[in-house]
Amino acid sequence: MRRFNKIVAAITIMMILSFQLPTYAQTETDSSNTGPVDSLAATNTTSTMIRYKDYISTQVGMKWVNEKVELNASDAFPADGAVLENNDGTTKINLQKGSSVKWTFDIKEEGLYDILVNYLPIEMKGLKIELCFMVDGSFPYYEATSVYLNRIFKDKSKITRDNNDNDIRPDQTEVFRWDSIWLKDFSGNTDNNLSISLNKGQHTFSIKVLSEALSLSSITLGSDKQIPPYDDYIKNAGSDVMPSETFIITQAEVPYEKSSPLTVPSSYSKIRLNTLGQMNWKFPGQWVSWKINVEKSGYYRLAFKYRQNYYRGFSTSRKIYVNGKIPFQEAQTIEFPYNNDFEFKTLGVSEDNPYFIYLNSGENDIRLEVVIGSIGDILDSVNDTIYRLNEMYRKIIMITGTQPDLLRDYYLEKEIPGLLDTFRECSRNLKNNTARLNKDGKEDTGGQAAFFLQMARQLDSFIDKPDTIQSRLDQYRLNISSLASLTLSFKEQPLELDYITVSSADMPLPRTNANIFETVRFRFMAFIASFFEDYNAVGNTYTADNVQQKPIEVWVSANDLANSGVVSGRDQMTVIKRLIDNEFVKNKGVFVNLRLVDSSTTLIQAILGGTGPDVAMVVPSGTCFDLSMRGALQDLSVFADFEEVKNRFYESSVIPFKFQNGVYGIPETQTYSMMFYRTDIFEELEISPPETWDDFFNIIPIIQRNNLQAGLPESLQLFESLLMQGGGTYYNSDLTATGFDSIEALKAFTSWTDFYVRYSFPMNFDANTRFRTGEMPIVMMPFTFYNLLSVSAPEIKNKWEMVPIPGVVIDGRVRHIESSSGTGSIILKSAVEQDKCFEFVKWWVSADIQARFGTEIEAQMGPAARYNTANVEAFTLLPWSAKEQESLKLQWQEVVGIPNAPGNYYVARSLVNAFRRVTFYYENPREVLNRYNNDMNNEIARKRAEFKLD
Amino acid sequence: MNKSISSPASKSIFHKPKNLISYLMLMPYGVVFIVFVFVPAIISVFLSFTSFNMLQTPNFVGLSNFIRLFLDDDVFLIAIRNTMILAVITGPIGYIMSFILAWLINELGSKIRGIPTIVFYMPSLAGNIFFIWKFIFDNDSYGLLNGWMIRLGIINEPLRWLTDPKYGLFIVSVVVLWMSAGAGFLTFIAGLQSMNHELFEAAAIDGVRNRWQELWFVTLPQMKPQLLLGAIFTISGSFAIGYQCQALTGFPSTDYSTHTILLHIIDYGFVRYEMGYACAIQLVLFGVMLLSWYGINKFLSKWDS
Repeated sequence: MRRFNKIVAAITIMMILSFQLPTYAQTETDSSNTGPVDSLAATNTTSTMIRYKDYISTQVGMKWVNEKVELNASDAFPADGAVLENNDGTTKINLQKGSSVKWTFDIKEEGLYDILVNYLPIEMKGLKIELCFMVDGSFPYYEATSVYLNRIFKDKSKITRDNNDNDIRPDQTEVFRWDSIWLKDFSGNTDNNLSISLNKGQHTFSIKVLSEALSLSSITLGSDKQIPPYDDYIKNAGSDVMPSETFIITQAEVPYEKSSPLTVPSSYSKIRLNTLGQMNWKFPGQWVSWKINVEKSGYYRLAFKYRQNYYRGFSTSRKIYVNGKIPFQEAQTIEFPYNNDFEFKTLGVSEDNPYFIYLNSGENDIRLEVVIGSIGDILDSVNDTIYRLNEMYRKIIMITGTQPDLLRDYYLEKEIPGLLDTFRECSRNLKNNTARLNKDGKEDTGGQAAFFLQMARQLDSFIDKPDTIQSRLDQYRLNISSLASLTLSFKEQPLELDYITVSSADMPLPRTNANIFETVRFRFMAFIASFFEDYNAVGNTYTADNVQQKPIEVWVSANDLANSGVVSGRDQMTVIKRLIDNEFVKNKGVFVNLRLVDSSTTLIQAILGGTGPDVAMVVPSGTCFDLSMRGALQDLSVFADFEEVKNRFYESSVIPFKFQNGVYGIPETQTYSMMFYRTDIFEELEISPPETWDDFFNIIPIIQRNNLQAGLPESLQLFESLLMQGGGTYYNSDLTATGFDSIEALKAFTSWTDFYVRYSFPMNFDANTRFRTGEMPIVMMPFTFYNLLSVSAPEIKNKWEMVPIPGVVIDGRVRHIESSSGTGSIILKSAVEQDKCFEFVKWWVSADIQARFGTEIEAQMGPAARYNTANVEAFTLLPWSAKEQESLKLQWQEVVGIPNAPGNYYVARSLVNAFRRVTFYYENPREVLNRYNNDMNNEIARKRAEFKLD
Repeated sequence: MNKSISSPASKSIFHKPKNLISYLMLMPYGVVFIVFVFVPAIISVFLSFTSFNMLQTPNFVGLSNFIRLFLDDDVFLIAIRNTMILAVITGPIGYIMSFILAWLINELGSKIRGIPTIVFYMPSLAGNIFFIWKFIFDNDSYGLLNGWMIRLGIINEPLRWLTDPKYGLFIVSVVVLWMSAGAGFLTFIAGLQSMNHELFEAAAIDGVRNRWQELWFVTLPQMKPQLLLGAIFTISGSFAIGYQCQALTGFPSTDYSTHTILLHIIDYGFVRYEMGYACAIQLVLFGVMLLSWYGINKFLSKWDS
């Protein structure tokens, strides 16, 4: 599971903060924007707004002030539904989504001000609180258009055990209390606060809520820059404040509060939660706090038993707060170097020269917050370099094509103005950053910095011999992409903590690692235990003995989970099981066992052997159809409240689960395609994203003339969409034959194959890479590609958009009709207590549970694991921004379901063969389709005869 | 040979405690073999005369599965053709290649012998390692082979190595050959090393003049058991090709270009859930394998005499 975590983590790079594009981000092409902040955004558009980095560098001579300006709730001008509330002399402002508040104030000291927000979250959907702020009526910089406030979580209970003796991660509950936070750009690569520059005189400051709701008590403009260095901090510590004989261990897995729900397991056979963090405590801004009691006030040493075995050669960083304050400058970045085993980190210059930290007698609050540390600046500048190198790559292939003629002289350095200058600059930049990296890294960073140098060396040789550029383009592209993936891992700051010790100066620190005998013993016990443990069961296992009733057996197939787009693994199962135990079992009194099985073949074999489950989840619609045709499934439409359940979904997601007059599965997930395009390249080429296929064909020549490509993956979904947009159908109305003998089908098939035959679109490509380099500025991909891009492509952040696929004009309206794929839950006919099973399925696909599952998965694995729920209401509860939701909804409503028919596998297979006949051998599409259509119809007829359907 | 084991079988085995103990010792494996290999094999013979969709009770349909298989299944013919081609290419060629390699390696000093042995044995040792060929023959224009061929100006457009029916079988043969230095290869090496060296000296005195004569008249006759074993490994291996095709060219491959009998069984058994028909195919495959074993045995015993 650890290895799985790591793999996922490699994909899940930046988590909660990075993907959220500002909701109002408006481009010229999207005039129908009804985003929530039009009034505020009207003054600027994103393309003209400057970045914070540039903003701050233009404020020469401005210093961070010493003065503090309090903007109290009582002086505020609320608007758009913000309400002032007065309680016992204290005033607060309650803000809903869309409401704003404004202050007018005088500045006496000219300088840079940071912004401290004192806030109380109000219970809503549980998403991140998103704000934007303006100074004197306009956004000072781009980052001001979207900032986030943390929520605070607490374990609801102690770590408990299920009846298999495994630890259960306690439920996370949100703490609604007042907190204050310096506004920061968490998605950026810096730990600095966002500052605004203010002259003497009168100013206005306003804040608007973009998502969720909160109460504000005040805003403080000031600075937290006046933290003393350690030497000043310790100066007035006399011997009387050096306590003795104190040694306190605080287990890290029982924190007091935290900014996101996290913890982690370990044991030889049973799951034990005895450390905290690992890969789910790595994103800047995430913090955890502990309460530590000391008897005597005074100066103590702090040490952490930790492990950071993720990034070889790198340190990950934390910032420490003691009782809400950073005690001294050095505590702003504490580095935890790489180590394969658990290791001790004593806060200080070194082990022998520790820092002493003042703790009050009684309870102290120790908070560790993830910071990027010194690597942030390097990241910023390398990301910038990557973007520029990609831009140059694009400009080169616009001239040479992706497969340049090696013998031709392109004179690239003359054709592309500034090519060599850019290379020179980028090379210098990379070399500088290598030097910085080597200086900062305590251990051997050579391995990583080598990528920087490799790129720089190539650039240098490009500068020396520009005529070799075209022949080395491939290597250039590879270098850029390895550079990009390297910077991604820099940003994560994972850390695993076992415990924290507080000790007085006279106490020694304990041993860290288990000795060889203990290790051997642990491994041996784990081996022995593997004969007795049922690792497939997840969570509490109920039997007729321990609950006095027959529990429902629920199976989930790991393979299907992975294919459905939901990242699969035991962690997810644990989330589901916890939801089941805490919500379903407790409230409905029906006991449910959850098992993770291999694949749906296992399911079929088990049903054959009579040992199948009562309910199976995450079953692909094809498998569901196969089972229903063979009479193994319960028709769900006979249940009384089936209609109510069905209405939670679009009809399109239910259709594939139908067989004859019954419905044999309830949809869980649904995936459809969207079109992704690069706004920067489209602007450069002066084209706009296509609404219809006609528009699409109009821009193709422009894209191809510049040696760029459009990406339409070789998938049946494209054919299905074209077919239905043209008015054709996949099967005839009684599902006894395909609908491919129609003129509409022939047209759809011809235009599908034409993409590759006539327009020579590439059939196989790595969309992620080509989209990032810009070689493929427009691609059609499943909408989950959005999550992948938002975490894995920081260098093109805000330079791409997601829109519905091209459509056709029907009755004067553009229709983006499309097909989809999905999974669902099924109930076996052999299940004894059908009603209870349906009750369970109904509960599982309810909006609340689907949304909670989605949110928890995302909290654990990051936004790349965003759940593609089919439940329409649950979808709105997932953290999509308003704009993303709008364009996804637009597409989703147009999705049309394709029914399953006996022999469906054969239709799909033959279509692919027919497609390849045409695209590989240029045969006549009409003849090919006809020929294969006969095969398909024969198979359908044979299957219908087998099942006596005629 | 031990006399007690070869004693006449007419007497009941349980009367002799000696035999009882032998059978008891055989039991652990015997039970597993009977339950998991023998009984299923027998059941599958019965199932091949039924129509069975894995979930409902099988219906007896007589010979119709076999009639359909031989008269009305075009894909089966493709599968037979592909299996034969692969068996002929990878069987003898792989077999001879393994032997020559083993012979050459055996000539090396005993210290470095281990290195080439591991290098050649690695592909079959490491199981799924043939996935790297997927990387080499990638359909993308940035695929390894495509990229190089485009750069060298041999082709302009990427070739779809894995999905184009023209190349599928060729690629699968290459990969299977590459992996063919398997267990047979190891037995060859073992055989070469356990050679009686006095015979070489005797042969030299009797007038063997070069290495070829030595190989043919001395080495090979001595290696007969290993050669037979290697042949059996190779044959059973080449009829069981399928997984490699599936992993490389997809399942099913374009126009069934790399469809083998094994894949045909999988297709009917686990995609279409027509277990009866799949069992019929399986029975035919079993028959073909039996025949070729018989043929090889005949051939080798003839050569012996």
